[in-house]
Amino acid sequence: MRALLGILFVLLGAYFLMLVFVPESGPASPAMSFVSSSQCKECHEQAYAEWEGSQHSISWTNPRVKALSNDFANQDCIACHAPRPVFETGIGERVLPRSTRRIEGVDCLACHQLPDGGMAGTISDPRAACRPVASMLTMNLARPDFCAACHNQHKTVDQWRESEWPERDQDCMSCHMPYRNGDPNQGRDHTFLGGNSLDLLQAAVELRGSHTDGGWVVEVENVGAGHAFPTDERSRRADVFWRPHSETGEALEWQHLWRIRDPYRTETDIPSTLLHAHETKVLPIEAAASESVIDVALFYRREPYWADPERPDPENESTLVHSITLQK
Amino acid sequence: MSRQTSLLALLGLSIAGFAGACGDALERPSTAPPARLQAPAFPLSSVVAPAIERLQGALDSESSAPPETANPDRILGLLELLGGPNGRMRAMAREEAAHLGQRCSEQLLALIDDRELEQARRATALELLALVGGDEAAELLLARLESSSEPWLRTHSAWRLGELKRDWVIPRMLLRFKYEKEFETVIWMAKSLASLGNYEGLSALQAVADGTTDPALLASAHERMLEIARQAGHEDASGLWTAWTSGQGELPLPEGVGPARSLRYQLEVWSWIQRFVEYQLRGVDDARFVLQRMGPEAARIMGEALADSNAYIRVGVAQSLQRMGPRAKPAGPMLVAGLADPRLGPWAAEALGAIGAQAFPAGQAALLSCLAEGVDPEIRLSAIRGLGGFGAQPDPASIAALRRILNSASGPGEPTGEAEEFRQAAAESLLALGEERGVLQPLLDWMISERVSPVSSQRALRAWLQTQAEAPEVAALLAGWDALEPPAQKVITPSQRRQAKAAQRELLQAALPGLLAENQAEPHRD
Repeated sequence: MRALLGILFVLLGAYFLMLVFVPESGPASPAMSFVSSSQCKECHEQAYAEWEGSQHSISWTNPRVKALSNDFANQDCIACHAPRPVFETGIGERVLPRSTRRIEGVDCLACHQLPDGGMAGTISDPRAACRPVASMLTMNLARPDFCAACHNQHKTVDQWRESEWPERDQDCMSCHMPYRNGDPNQGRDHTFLGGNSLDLLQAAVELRGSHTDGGWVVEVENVGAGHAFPTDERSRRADVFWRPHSETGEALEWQHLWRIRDPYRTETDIPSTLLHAHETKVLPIEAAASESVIDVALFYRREPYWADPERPDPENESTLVHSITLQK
Repeated sequence: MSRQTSLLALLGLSIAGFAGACGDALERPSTAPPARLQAPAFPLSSVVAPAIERLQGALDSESSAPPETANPDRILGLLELLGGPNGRMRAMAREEAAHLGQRCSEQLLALIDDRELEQARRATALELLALVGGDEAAELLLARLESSSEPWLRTHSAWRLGELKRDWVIPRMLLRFKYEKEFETVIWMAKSLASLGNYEGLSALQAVADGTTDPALLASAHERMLEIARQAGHEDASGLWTAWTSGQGELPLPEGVGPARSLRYQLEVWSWIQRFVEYQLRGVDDARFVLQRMGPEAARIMGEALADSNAYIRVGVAQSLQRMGPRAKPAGPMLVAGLADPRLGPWAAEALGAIGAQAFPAGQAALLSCLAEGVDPEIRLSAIRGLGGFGAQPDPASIAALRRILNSASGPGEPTGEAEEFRQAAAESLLALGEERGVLQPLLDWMISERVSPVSSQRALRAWLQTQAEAPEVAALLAGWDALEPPAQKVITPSQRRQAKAAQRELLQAALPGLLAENQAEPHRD
C-alpha cells in the first residue's frame, strides 16, 4: 500500500512538473541569435522596462561611474560594467568584458544568455525563439553565487555569507529582486533597487542617540542590510553629522562626526570603517558635551568626495537617510 | 625538434588556421547569426602552470646549501668601518663585505628595523646588507620597499636594490609605482630599475618633475633622467624613452645584468601572468600594471601565454600587451593567431593596433581580414578600432574598408545601435589614420549622442587636435578644449558633464570651417 502511494505521488509530481515546465503545443519559433537586450523587449516588455530604469542598464553610461573610473580608462571596471554572459565563464567566476554594445551596460544577456545561445528563464520551452531553460534559472541564476560574479569584487556576497541572513533564508533576491507586488505569480522585479532606494537605505540602518553622564552618544546599527552598510569599496559612503541649536532654537551648521566607508586599494593609509551586518557603531560626541539640544543625521552618497572637502554640504550633496533631534 | 622550432611550426599552423577561419567568415552570408565561442586558431593547453613548475624545478636544482652564519663581532666591526669617517677604511669594509660569503641577514635586519637606533646606523646596516648581496638580501630589501612605513627606509632600499643587480626584482619594484607616494623613493626606484635594464621609471621621473614644487626634488628628477639616459648611451631622456617604447630593436642589458634575463626573472614574469586567474580584480590589475611595464623579453613570454587554456590569462595578457604598445611586438604572431578566439580575439585586435605598423606590419592585414561581415561582432569591432593604430603606415585597403563601414547604414532587422557603433569606431580609426574628410562632423555629433558611447569620439577628436597642434590656431583651440574639461577627480553633476562636452563640441564646430573647409562640404550619412 505504501509503495502504491509512493508511485501515485511520483506520478502526480511528474504531472505537476509537466504542467509547469512543458509548453503548450503550437508551432515552434525559429531560434534567434540574441546579440542585444533590445531583442528581448518584444516578448518581455515589463521586465525590459524595469531593467531600462535600473542601475544595471546605465552601468556604462552613469556619469558617476564614468567620473570614478576615469571614463573606463581603468580597464578593471569594464568587465562588470559591460559584461559578457555570466554563464559563459561560470557561476561564481569573474565575468569577462564585452567590446560591443557597452552602452547597454549590464544587459539581459549578461544574466540570461547560456553558452549555446539559449536563455535561463522561468519556463523551459524549446519552441520559443530564445529557447528558455528553467532549470538554469532556478539552479543558477537565482543563487547569490551568480551575483557574486560582479558583486563580490567588493566582497558584498562574502559579507552576506558571514552574516545571519543566509540562515534566515534571506538572499540577494529577497531585497533586490522581490516579487512584483509581493506576488510570486507576477515574477521578479527587474529594477534592482539598492543604494538608490531611500526605502532600502532607511530599512538598512537605525540611528539612535542618548545623553548619559559621559555626554552625548550616538549609535548606528546595521539592522537590515544583508551585507555591510554601505557595501562596495571606495565609491559609496555614509556620514554621521551632528549640529547644535542656537539659544533661539535655530539649527546651526552640520559638523562631521564619523565616516563609514571602505577605502580604495591605493588608499593604504585609511582604515575600513564599514558597518557590517548586525553591527552597531557607538559614537560619543565629545564636542557637543555642553549642548542641551542637538540634531544628528546619517547621510548617504555614492561618491566618496565632497565638492569642497573643507566645507561639506551634506544636505545638498548626499541623501538624508535618518535624522533625529536629541534633548537633554 | 627544438622548443623554438615547435613554436614556429605551431604559429605557422595557427596563422593558416586563422586565415581559414576568416576566409569562411568572408564567404558566410551576412544574414547568418555570428559564430560565437568558436575554437581559437591554435591549440589551447595549460601553458603557464607547467612553465612555472619547470622554472621552479630548475631553480631548486641550482640552489646550494646555505652558507654558515658570520661571526656577529665581525659584522659589528665591518659596520663600524663602513659608518666611520675614514674613506680608506670604508673602501676596505666594502671590499671585505662583498667577499664575505657568510650569512648575516638576521643580525643586519635587527639593526635596520630597530627604530631606537640612529638613522645613520640603520642606513649603514642596510648598505652592508646590500654589499653582502645575494637573493636573500634582495628579498629583504624588497620587503622593506614594499611595506616599511618609514619613507627614508623605502628610499634607501630602492637605491640599494639597484646595486644588487638581481633582475628578478624588476616586477615587484614596478608595482611600487602604483602605490608609492614618496617622490624621493620614486626617484631611486627609477634609477635602480634603469640599472637593471628597465626604463619605465623615466615616465615616473617626469611625473615627479611635473608634480613637485620642491626645487631640490625637481633638480634630482632631472638629474636622474639625464644620468639614466647617458648610461644607456643616449643624449637625453626623450631619446632613451623613444628607444624603450618604440619597439625598434631591443636595448642591450646594462653591465652586470645578463647577457640574458635570469631564470628567476622568467619565473617572476610567469608568476605575474598566473595572477590573471585570480577572482579579485585587485590582483589582476596589479598584474596588468606590472607586465605592461616590462621589456620585450617579457613580451616574448607573454606571447607564449596567449595559448593557455585559461581565458582569464589570455585576456589579461592581451590587455597588458595592448598597454605595452610597440614594445610588445615579439608577441605579434601569437596575437594574430589569437584573433579567431572569440574570447581573446577582441583584445588581440586592440593589442595589434597598439603595437602598430612600424613594429609589426603584419598586424594590419590580419585586422583587415577581420572586418568581413559574419566575423564575431566583438572581434570585428575591435579590429576596426585596432586599425586606427596603424597611423604611421596606413594601408589604402584599410582606409577603403573603414570608409565602407562608416558610410553603411543600418540594415533592416539589424539590432539597434550596433551598426552605428561600428560606424563610430570606423570614423575614429579613420581620423587616427589622418583621414579627416567626412569624419569630423559625425564624430562631433557622436560626442553628444546618447545612442553610442560618446567618450571615444571625444578622445579621438582631442587626439587629432593634438596631432595638428603645431599650427598656432590649433594649439589655441586645443588649449580652449582642455580648459573646458572638468578637472580630474572633481565631482560634477551629469548636467555639468553634458554642458562641458557640448561646449567642447561647439568650440570645435565653430572652428571647423577655418580648419578644414572640405569637411563642411561632405555631410555624413545617418
